[in-house]
Amino acid sequence: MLLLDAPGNTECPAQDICDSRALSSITRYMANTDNPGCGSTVLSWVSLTGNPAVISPQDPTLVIGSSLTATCSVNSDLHLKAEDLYWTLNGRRLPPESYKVLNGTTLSVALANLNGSRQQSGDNLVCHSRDGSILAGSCLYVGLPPEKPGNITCWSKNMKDLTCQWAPGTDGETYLHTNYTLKYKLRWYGRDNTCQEYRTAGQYSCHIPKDLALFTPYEIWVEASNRLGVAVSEVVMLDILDVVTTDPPADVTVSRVGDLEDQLSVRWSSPPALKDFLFQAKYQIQYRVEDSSEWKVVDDVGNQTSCRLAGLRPGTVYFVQVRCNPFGIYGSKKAGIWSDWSNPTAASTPRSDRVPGVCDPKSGEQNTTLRRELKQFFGWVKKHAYGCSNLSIKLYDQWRVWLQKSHKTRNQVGATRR
Amino acid sequence: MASAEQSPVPLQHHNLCSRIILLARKIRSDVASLLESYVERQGLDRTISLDSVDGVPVAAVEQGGELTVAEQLGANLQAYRAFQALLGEVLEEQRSHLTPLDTDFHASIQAVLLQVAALAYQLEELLALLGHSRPAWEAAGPEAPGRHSLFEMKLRGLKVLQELAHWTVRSVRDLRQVAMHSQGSGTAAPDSQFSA
Repeated sequence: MLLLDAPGNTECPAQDICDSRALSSITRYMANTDNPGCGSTVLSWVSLTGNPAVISPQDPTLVIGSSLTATCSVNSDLHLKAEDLYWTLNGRRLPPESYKVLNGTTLSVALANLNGSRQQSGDNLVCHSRDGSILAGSCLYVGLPPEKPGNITCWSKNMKDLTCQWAPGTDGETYLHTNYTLKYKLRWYGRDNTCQEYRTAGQYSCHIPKDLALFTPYEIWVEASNRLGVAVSEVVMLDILDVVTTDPPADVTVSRVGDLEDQLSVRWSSPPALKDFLFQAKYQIQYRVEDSSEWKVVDDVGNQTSCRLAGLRPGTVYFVQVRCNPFGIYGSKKAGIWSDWSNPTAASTPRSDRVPGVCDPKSGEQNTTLRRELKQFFGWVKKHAYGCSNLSIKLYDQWRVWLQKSHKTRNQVGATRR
Repeated sequence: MASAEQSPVPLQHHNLCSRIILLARKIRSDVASLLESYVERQGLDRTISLDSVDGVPVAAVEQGGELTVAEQLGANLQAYRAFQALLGEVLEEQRSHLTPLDTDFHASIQAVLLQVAALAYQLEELLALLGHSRPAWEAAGPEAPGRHSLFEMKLRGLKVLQELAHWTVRSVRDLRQVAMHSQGSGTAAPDSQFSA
């Protein structure tokens, strides 16, 4: 019986902890216990009382939909009758119609068509005495045996390691703790090895960090096991060279192409980790305007390390990313695996002097606009790039990005206020 | 000009008591959150009767028996030493049997375990500072496997956390008494931490 404030509540401030209410709670609690512990110097707390009752079966594992009859046998010393007992499952009282008195001290309960366990730690089937005290408990594990894992896919980052992912059968929902073990061995010789670093790339993945051989295929498979059985996947065979991916391209820069208002030039370096290996590379670029989440992909870049984007909107900020697919490493015939995209790089296209279909503004108006914009720009330079001797069009691009962002923020704030 | 190289002993008591009180409050707050997740993961009701669970130090003191400072601190120290061992068992049971995949949950238990170890250490320090000997401690050996059923493990874990929460309340009260006692017997020290 707990008389102190509920442990789930927020912590008492100091004055509450020590006020008379809290202390009297402790005292009341003291009065309800006969534990002599606190004053003694050597305490022997770790002891158990004899079991007042026993539930059979204890902690069983069952398949979903099956039935169970459990019994609760009370210690005859307690002078409790079977009729005085009742059952709960996960805290809910089970109906008396499902009970059967087997003898003076034993009560059974019949459970039919069991659902999957509500929690990983098992359902709680508990036998109580009439006053609600717990006499005994049993954890029920109700679920499904594992299905054969499938879709094993692996990749090696820079040929140094290997990561594999797989799909558990039937969405992985077995309602029971299911253990997955990835195993691998060299195809023609060698012993089974077990992967150790799980969940490195999602729930069903494992990472092998080192000691991998090249030029010899590996056999890889996954074993799934739980309380109801074991299932083994098909064996996948692969050569590390055939599944290489790499870091994203480094040093991605995006710059204007002279005054061409619809173009930007993108340059990058090939992934440094693979520079010592003989391989070919394919690249892809994707870009989007600042206020859109839709990327456009350019996939005919080939093995060039630069590309010009054309047909862009004038005076617009673009974000650009590049990725790499290394293939043909040491003559591998397999298609490579795309790297992650590089971090986005931003740049703006030059502003169009004329808006098609619209009359030129009067020179006076144009000058006023330009003067205002230049004034704003120099103000920004003073604040954000003071002392920067390398004043270039790049700085202007940065300012344009900043300006667009600040307009966006202002609009959002305005919208919120409205 | 106050330029003492070493704090006077009563001030040291006071500072150490403050630190212990702060740590006890922190443990209480963390245990409260841990209890929330514990009952959810074990499918238990917080109001479930735990009378059948033995072997966990309870925070209550015997009525009528005024304890000396040494006895009070000794009882606190013994309790936290016991909780250190018990939390280790709870953690192992969760990892091995009850919630093997729930690493975040295990990390929360581990965090409380470390705080309890720190609290026990600070209580030892305080006892030494007050010139009292540490009570002897005979750690119980590792639990025999299969000693508890899985359901008993769940209940025991709940009782350990609930009693730990109660102990932190008692410790704050005890430590405030100890601080007041040391104040009464020595140099006055600022009391802001205790009256807050």
